[in-house]
Amino acid sequence: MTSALVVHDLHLAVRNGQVLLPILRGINLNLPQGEIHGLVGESGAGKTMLGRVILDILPPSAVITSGNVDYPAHRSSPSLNRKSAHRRRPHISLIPQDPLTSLNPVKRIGKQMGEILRLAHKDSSQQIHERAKQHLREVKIRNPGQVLQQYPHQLSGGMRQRVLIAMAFSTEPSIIIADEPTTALDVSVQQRVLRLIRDLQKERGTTILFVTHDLGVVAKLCDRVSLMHSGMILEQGKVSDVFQSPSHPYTRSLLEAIPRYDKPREKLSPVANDLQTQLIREADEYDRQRRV
Amino acid sequence: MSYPYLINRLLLALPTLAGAVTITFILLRVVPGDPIAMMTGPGATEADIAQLRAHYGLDQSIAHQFVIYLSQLITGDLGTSISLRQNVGELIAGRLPVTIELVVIAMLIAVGFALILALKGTFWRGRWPERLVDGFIGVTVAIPDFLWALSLILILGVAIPIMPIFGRMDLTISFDSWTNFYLTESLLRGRFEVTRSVLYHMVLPAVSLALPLMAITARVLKSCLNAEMNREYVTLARTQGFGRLKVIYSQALRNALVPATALSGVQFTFLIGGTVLVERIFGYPGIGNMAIDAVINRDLPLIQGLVLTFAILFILVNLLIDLFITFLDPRLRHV
Amino acid sequence: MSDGRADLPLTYRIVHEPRALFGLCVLGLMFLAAVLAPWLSPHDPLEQDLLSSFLPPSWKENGDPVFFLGTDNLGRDIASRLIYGARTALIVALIAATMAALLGTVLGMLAGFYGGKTDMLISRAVDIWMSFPAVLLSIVLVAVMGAGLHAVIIAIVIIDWTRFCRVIRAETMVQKERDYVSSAVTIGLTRVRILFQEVFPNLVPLLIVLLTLEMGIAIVVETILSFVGLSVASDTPTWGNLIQEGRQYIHQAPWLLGLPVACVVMAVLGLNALGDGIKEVIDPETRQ
Repeated sequence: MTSALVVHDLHLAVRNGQVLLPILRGINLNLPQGEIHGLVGESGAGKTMLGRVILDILPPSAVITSGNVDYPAHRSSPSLNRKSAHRRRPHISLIPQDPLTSLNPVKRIGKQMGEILRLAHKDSSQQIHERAKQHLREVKIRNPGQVLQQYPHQLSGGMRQRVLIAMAFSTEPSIIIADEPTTALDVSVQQRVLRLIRDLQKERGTTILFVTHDLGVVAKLCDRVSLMHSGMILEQGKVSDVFQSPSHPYTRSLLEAIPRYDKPREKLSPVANDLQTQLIREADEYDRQRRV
Repeated sequence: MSYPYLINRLLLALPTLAGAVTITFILLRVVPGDPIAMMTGPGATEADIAQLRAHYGLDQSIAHQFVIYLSQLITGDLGTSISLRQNVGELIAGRLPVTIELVVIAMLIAVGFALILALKGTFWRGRWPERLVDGFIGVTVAIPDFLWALSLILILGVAIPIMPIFGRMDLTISFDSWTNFYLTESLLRGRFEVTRSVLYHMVLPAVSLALPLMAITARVLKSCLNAEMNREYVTLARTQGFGRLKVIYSQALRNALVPATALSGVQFTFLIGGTVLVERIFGYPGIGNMAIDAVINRDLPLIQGLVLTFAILFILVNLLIDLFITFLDPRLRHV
Repeated sequence: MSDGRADLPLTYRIVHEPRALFGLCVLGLMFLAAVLAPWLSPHDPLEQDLLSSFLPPSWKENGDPVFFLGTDNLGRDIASRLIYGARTALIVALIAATMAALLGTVLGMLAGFYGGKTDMLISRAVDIWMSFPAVLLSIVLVAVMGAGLHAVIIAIVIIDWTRFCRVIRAETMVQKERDYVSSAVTIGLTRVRILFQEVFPNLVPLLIVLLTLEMGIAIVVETILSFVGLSVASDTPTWGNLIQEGRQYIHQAPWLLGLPVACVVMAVLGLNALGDGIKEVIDPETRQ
């Protein structure tokens, strides 16, 4: 199968005054079309920055020092933006982390969805409204007409996340970056939202890069998984393989850190300090070798 | 944005208004200068002065005077001006339109340029034009309207004499106004030569009043915009295909306006207060200019009436600002 | 983000902040002019010389090098009058700003720290104050008290204490929630002691900034009152009086207005820059 997204040896640094601080250190990713790929790592690992590279919304201080992002399955004109590392860029959507702050608080849902749809279609307001309704129905919102009339603060967290998912799918993207989309939600709502994302993905064959720190979610949802630490991918493979026989000590310690209801008395084991230190040392060593 | 909210706001303003009235009244009664003596001149007899004093109620005790003043105030009677010997209400009503037109134009100038500066500054974030905008704001914000007025007179009135520096319009034009809203009225009556002259005379005083407000509003709005630009809904909008400029305009601006208006709101009242001096400097015939004459002449009823007018204007402006914020932010409407 | 200069002494960092340095220079010049006025001024500021009235500054045509910045309608030396004017400006700025700060800070601290009825009373008073046009109020006040420097100073204090009160009240409320206050309560310090010994030192940086800005405002108010004819006696050289006199001869001798306006603008810009500069140095949150 053709790849939807290929990240090749990507290095990225953030400029702080005169120095460049490395954030991503040689990331390689290859996502076949229709795959849900889990990207796991603790905060500061560089997950969000990787997502931003792919979305082409890097902050001005971030510099791509080498490598590139490619979309082999996508056949369109080359990107005009020469500064970015992108060869060709299909439409990529983002499902953001926090549904509370990701909707514009002063605009009705209908207006926000309409603005996005209008960028893609030259339809009358009536048609746009119908489209928006249809998209809301697809995310199992029962009263789309009413929701379109409402402001974000009038909706529950779960509803807002549904709206954001509807927005993400409404542009018919070939790739979606889901940036911890369930972290801010209630556990009971989480499951439904995950199922919704998976169902829509199956239906449309969208490729999803699912950023999370929750290995449980990865086990349920993803086909393959990459584990990140200090801007490097430590382990990559099929979810079943990685979970059953983790090869990297970091993966092992992460898997052990999951609290398990079937072994309640077992001591919760945090990722050992010396392992953290070792990983950071390895990252420094990597930087040193690259500089030489 | 409901009626109960409006009424509540107006009721809250009443004690403030009452306080302002009381304080001015008491302050003015301990004035050492004698308004009656000023009015009568050297030739007057003791009896004349006493008669006049009684006529204006100044022979009563302060408490008694206050009761009389309040009872008149409630019926809408502001008393009679001592120096101009006319009804204070009518005097103010005649001059108020002049000041209102000046203030409205000044506010429009201030808000318009503040928007441009803040939006441009945000768009140029991190590049050298942003520093230019910041520097301009920094210098402008420090100088009060009074000094702007004098500087503008020197620069555009004397050094390069291209702007009129005195009065409301050319004295050669005769315009028999019914309302004293020259600008509005001349437009409606099609007397465009009057409109032109009034606008021309308005430029320097309006700009003097507008510059400090413009600078402070631009500074506040710019920092609010920058804060909004880091919010997640803006990031999301960027991924949805909105360009940088469009994100600022159509996503961040309205959100930034809410705190920016709240923070710079009080500055709008400062602009109104600024008319006192700016009108004086430009010989502009509004209530501000009148107020200085009233103080110099110790014209108690007129000062009293003018302070009340200013207080009402201040309270109205604050109310409008509150309404504007509720209009902008739907979260405040449904509380 | 760590800043290597954060460990250096405060005065060093203030002197190395360009805006603060500019402000200090302006303030220093004013101070010198004020203290050394009798020695610096080439002439007696009140000495009239009707034969040499309306002389332009010496670098212009018809200028007389004896009168470096020219003379006014009565032939008085402008340079000397400006130097003596700095004296009045500085006296008013220092005394009025300090007194306004004192009054506003104490009330603001009480309102912010005790809350409840104290806060309501003080905040209400501030509200009422803010509903007056400040300029008109100051004019009325000076008219009430009679012209003179003391009246100007009292008027500034009565009007501008609210500037300090509002900001200090808000900051006190923030400080009150900090942990050091709760720990002071637990070790049994009295509330007054906590307020003045524990909270107050944390307000000082903010207070210095406000004080600097207020000095600029005080100079402007003094100018305004002189301009309206309500400050000190009109033969005393103050910048406001010079502006008032200069305005009458604006076409004939524009320098009579231009020079004092330039002095006030420089003083105000300098004090503002100083305030901004100090704020930048002491407030880590405004630093990136």
